[in-house]
Amino acid sequence: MPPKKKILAVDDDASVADFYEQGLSLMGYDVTVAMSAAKAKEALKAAHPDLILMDIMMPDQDGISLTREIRNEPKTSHIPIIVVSGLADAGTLNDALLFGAVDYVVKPIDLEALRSKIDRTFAALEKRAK
Amino acid sequence: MTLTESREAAAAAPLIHLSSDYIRAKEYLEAIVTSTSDAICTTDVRGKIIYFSPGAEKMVGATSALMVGKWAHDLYAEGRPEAERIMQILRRDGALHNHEMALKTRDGRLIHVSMSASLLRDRAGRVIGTLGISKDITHRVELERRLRELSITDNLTGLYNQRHFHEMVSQETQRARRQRQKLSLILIDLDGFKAVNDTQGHIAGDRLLHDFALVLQGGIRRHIDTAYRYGGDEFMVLLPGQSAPRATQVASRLASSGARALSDSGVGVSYGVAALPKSGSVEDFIKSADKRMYAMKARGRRRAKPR
Repeated sequence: MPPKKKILAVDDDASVADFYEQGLSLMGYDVTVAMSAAKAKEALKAAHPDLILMDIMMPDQDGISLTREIRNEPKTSHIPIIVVSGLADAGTLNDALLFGAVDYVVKPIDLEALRSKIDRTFAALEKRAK
Repeated sequence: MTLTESREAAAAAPLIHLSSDYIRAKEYLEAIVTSTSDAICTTDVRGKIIYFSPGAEKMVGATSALMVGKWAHDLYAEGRPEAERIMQILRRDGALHNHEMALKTRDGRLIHVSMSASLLRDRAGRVIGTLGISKDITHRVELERRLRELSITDNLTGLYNQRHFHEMVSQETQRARRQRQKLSLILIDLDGFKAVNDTQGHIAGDRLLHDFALVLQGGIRRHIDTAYRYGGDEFMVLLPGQSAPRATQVASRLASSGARALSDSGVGVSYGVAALPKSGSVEDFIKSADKRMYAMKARGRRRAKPR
């Protein structure tokens, strides 16, 4: 069996954090949840995930600027980021994609749809690696 | 009196005597048939109604004038197949005793009856139809249903109880594996419930459990998913045909609306979702949901806030 893909999910909402932990682990991913931008940076220093799920609205730093930071840092620039937004605001999502996010998901999160986006992202990475 | 008249009078006398006896006997039988509250109904050989007693009229709420000439099975809740079953027994045994079935009233209610029936024959022994006598046993059937319900439901919340959960989880597990269908289980636990019971009293605690049960009932698919009070402040939901991601979605929604409904009490909600594994015991299936629930509780992200 291939090792489980590691996902770092960033969201300050406790119910979403619980939801990620439960849902993503049930789908076979190894999931770590960070409930603030600061916690996300800490987690990235400790270990590199295979993919990041990024909430946009967070109290300490917005997810778009955090996405930009991660993409600009050479050590983490290879990690694909999917942004998760509560507001289906085309401008915000556009910004996220502009700053290097590979895809986006709109809340309320549909886990099956999220899984297909995650799997598509991994498939595209593998194809590029070959 | 002319000769003719007297001759006629002599001839008529015994007739009048006979016919008054006859009328009295007929009235007597009619009194029997009409005074009982049981429904008495006869049909011809095809099953069309010939006689429909006042008891029958009252029971189904339709007059004899309306029903005579109609199919008897129009009154049966299960319709024609039920009539065929009855006829099969009558042809085999000649009679039917205390056959329990349901009738439809004119206004659409169901009445449970115990029916006894026999074949009607003429003097030559030829079958000319059927006779059915039905006693209303709705009250008894209702009582039995309530007794059964009492033993599988939780008195406080109206959800199914733990006993029924164990029956159903085994049954659904077998079915899911046989039909290669998915089955998911959600275990839900209220965080901080004990504090409510201790500080606000049992009535407040009971009301809280009742309110949460309403959230559960309202948040699952009717007639497909089933919700149980597993004990104390623990609840289970069985979701046949549902994948783990979908079940997680349901669980998350239930937890959020539950927490909203209980926000005044400061009680939080933890849950654990499990998908039925291809093999392994039912106990392992439950344990897996339990483990996940405890992991969420231990993280305590939605810890109950003190008031």
